[in-house]
Amino acid sequence: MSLKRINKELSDLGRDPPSSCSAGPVGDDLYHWQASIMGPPDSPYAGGVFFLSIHFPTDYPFKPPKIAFTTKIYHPNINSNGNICLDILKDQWSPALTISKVLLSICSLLTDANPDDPLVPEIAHIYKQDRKKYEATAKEWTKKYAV
Amino acid sequence: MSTYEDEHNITTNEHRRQHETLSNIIDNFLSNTRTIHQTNEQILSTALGQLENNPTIIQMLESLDDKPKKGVDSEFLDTLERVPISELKNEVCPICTNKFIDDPYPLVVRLPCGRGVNHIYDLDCIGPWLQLNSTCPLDRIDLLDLKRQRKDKIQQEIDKAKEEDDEEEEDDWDVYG
Repeated sequence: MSLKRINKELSDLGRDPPSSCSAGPVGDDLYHWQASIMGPPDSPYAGGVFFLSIHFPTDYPFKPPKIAFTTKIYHPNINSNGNICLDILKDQWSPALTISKVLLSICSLLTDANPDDPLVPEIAHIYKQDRKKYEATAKEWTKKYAV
Repeated sequence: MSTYEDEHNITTNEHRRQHETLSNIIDNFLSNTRTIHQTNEQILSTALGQLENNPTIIQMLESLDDKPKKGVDSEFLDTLERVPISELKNEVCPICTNKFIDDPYPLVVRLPCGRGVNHIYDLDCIGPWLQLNSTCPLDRIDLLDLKRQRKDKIQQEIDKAKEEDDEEEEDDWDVYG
């Protein structure tokens, strides 16, 4: 089941790729993919390209894929290991979700952070108290690591 | 009578030193135990620190989190509404994302999410999911909660009807009484 569904997603991505993301297997192992997300234009990540690693569990799509940023990014819901705090990657996972939909959700997380459920409390604090400072740092990191 | 010290050609001073050594040993033992305690605490905190970053432990904790959410039993799956092949056109199963009619003998079920809602799946796809998690993958409605609510509602209506019956009976008594 998992391999068939992963193959189907791969061919769907090839046929109808989302505008701001791409994804595909790293090597021969179809359970290990790499994805890239363009920084949304209306965010401090604009102009950056962010890479992510995707690991599918063997019981995919009944369990969520493990997705993490491999490019450093300054964001309240993404920590220094690249781990993403996103409900649909945890308890709100649904087998009707696809990698394409999850990547779009991550894109919108970049535009609209969720500082009330932070993974990095310091960044969330700055995001809430001094939005300009947050945006400046996020831009700086984007320039430094993602361009 | 010569003293023990004389016979053995030793001085009391040395004898006292032995006592001191013994107390030293005890002191050492006690203070050592204290340092062992400290190291234990250090070991414990290091171990806990390692556990926090251990993917296996995180996975175990996550799986513990999953536990309260119960899936449905096979009886529930058996009673799901079947969708006849004549009703199927170009719909795809949201889980395997294949067209139902690509399978010459599709076994398709409709989840009881609500009237007018057409959340249909291959039974082979939705079965394993519902056994893990009793929610519809499309709207996250908990089907077990829904079943319970519907049961309660039916029970309420039965109770209400009974009450009305009883009242009617009482009225009858008035007539004939």
